[in-house]
Amino acid sequence: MQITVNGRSISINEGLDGEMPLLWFVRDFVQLTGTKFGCGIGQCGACTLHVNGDAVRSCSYPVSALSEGDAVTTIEGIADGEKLHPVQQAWKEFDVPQCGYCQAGQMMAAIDLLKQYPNPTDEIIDQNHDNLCRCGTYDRIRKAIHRAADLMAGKG
Amino acid sequence: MHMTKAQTRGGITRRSAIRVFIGGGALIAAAPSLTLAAPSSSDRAMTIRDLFGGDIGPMVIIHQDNIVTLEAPIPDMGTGVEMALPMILAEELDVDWQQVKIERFKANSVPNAEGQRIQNYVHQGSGGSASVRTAWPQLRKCGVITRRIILTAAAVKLGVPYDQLSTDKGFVVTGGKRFPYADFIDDALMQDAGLVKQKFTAVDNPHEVPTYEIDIDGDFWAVKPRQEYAVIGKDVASPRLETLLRGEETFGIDHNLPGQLYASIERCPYIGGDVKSFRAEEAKALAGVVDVIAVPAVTAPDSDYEFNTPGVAVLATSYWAAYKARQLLKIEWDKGPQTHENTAWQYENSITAFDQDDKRDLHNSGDVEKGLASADKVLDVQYQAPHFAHLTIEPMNCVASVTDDGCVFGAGVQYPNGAIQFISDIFGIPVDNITHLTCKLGCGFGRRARDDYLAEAVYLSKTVKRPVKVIWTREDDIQHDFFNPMSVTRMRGGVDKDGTISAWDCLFSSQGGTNMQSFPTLLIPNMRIRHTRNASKAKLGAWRGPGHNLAGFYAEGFLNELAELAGRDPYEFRIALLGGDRGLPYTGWYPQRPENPTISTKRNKAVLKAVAEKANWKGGNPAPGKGRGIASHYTFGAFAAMVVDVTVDQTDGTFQVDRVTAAIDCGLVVHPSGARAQIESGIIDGLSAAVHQNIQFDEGRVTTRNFDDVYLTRMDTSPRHIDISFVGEDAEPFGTGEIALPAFIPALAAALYDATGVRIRKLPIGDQLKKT
Ligand code: FES
Ligand code: FES
Repeated sequence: MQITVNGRSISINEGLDGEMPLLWFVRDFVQLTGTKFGCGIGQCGACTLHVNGDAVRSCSYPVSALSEGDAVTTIEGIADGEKLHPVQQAWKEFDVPQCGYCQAGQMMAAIDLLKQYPNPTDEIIDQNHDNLCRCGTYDRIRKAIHRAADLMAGKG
Repeated sequence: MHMTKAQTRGGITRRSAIRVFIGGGALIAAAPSLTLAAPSSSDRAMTIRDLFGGDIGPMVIIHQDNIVTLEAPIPDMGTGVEMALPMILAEELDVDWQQVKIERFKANSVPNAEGQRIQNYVHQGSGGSASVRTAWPQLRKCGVITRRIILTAAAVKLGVPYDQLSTDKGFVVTGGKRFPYADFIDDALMQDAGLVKQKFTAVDNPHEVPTYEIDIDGDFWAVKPRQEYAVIGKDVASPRLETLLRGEETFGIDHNLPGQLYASIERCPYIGGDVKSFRAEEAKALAGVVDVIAVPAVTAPDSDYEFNTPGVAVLATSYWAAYKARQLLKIEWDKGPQTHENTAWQYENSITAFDQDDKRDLHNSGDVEKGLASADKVLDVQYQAPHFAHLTIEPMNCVASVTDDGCVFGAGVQYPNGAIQFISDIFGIPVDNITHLTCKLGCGFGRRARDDYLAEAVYLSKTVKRPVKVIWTREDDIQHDFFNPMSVTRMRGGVDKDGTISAWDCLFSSQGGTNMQSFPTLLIPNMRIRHTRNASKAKLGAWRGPGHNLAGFYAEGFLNELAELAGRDPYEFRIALLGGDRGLPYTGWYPQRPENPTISTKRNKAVLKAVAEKANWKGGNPAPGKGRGIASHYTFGAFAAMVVDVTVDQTDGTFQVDRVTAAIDCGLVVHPSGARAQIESGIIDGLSAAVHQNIQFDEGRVTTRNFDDVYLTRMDTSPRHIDISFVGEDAEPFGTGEIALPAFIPALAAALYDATGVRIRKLPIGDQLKKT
């Protein structure tokens, strides 16, 4: 089966265990390590990436759930070359990361949130953004999400 | 299944001597007294190039295009030291921050005449909020020396006397002309190493891993006045941030070695237990599985202490295959000696321990019993808190390769030189043949000060003669953590008619210690703190502010109760208690602690006054469902005071933290954004601890499994506003990582009391606020 990961064509062998979570496929077989392992049970969001543009927690998303031609996007694939994605840009402006380990998942979740709610209120962020950050960067994530919404609306 | 003595080798006595637990379990490196000799590398050094291994100065590389690479010497576990430390170096080196790149300084130690390893230039460990504090003088010195080396070469090359040269942001300036540092590097490297004083001095503080500092003659030792700072104290941007945001930063779990196998280990869940026998036929039959082998607990030759938990490892060609096959193992456990230990037993046993004879006085002044007997009003209450887990966002992991040539390992570690020494001592590999691959740490909080996760990977690689990458599951990470100890504290206190405290008696029962020896303890005439030990055998370790983390909850919580008993405002009560400006003798540890340290009532009053002013403190919040509380605590050299505002749902008892106002005196702030981040982090971790942490035990093992059992604070419950002020900028810089949490928890408890009338004396808060 052929899929794409960040636009690159990747084949998934017949022999590959279909139960393997997409997280481990991406990290160990596609060698993209930006997507992180935190809990393995869909609780923390560190492993969040996109399948056909929708955020999924890849530790709990088996490879067998993919279909021919599916497009997987990881944190390594969201910038436009030199130009950061608006969410990355906003994260940079607010100096969000501490350890940074959760932040790929935070940004991938935020991109999906902004797709659904281009101009989210604090309440919408509270209800929809529940990735764990053990370092406690929530205040800055909230501000950065609002900032990214502005950037994406062209309000640079 | 313990590693036999033949498999281990000497040296551990020395190492046990350099990593000890103090107070409440703070992992503090303490050195035996030393006879110091110059490191052998300096004997050979002929030129600056030789002295600094090819570089122009310690942790400094200046490229031909005048770009400067600064190497951060202390692992960053979210603490921001990969920014703060290079900033210190950049300031004294006088380079343009826009031209700076940041890399990581590898573990660096040299042997002295006795063969003992001494860290070179700077202390490299992360703990005790000590990074900025300890590196501050050392890195300034490195910056000054490197600048001096460049200027000396410039003087010769330009034919201008040294004292007619100055520098400006990476340029040597003379007679109105500017020359990039890069112009002088080749010459500077070839200068006689004698330019840098060969007298290596050791920082022989008993609480630090010994460090050699380089030195120069006093004439050249002039640090910049603070008014001239161009980098320190500024919110300059992180040169590494974009790498991280692109998902390209390296964490421990991202290290891979060619030809590696992946391992997933089923460890004995029972405290003090072992593997009795196991069957692995089914596991071995799974595609990708290469081997299944026992992992013994490694011990030092002269001790029974087990560094890691024994278990059975599945080795496979992918992590997933190893993990999946592990579920098929059939293991019979020796359940060990603690099967009677469960959570309820731990609390009962702690209370039983109140009556033990061998209580230890941590503080005793005046006559407590007399003071209580004569008091106008007395209060006798009990506080308690459960075991806290570290729950670093990145679970433990390590990749290691052991060959005849030595050992290469990649893992996030808080003490790189300590980790290397550990591997050397236990596995008999010379320190110089061990390479640590540096990286960022997905949190540490004290967990990555331990060696258990390193021991397993090194043992497995040595055994199977291939690189092995061990990844822990979250369940492994919680079950085999080294916890912050649970404790029960009996508080008895009395107030006199004049509204002052007549006496206070604290009996602290726990397997671990506490750090209550600062304020208010030092201010109370009849004051006693005793420690009695319960019989729990849960594994303990350093956890964010060891001994301090709950000292605030207990001492400041009870102080708020006494204020109420005395009918006084808790803020005014504290200011009055602190009294006139003075220093009181302090017995606790903090980084760079002098011989006879004191703590300042003036500085504690200053943070309280600042927070009261900022929050417009007028006592509690009388509005229904609203509450406001105050507390402060002194941790590892820094003062924190907090006012917390909450809204409590009056039916279901759930609450929201509306605002946290914090005033911090950590001395000079090196990187404001980073320092604020650490305070934000401590507040949110405090909230997580107070609401969610509650590690459960049954039958001598941990039964809490994953983030569904211990959910932790997320966006929806995180404080709406956090308002931080730094005061006390004139003082020397201290750390910030562990400062906020101990003050936040009691301020939160006070706010909840103000809103509901329910005193939170027991953590987690649980449903104590729910109306029955
Ligand atoms: S690792 Fe996937 S949600 Fe935690
Ligand atoms: S930045 Fe460290 S866990 Fe979020």
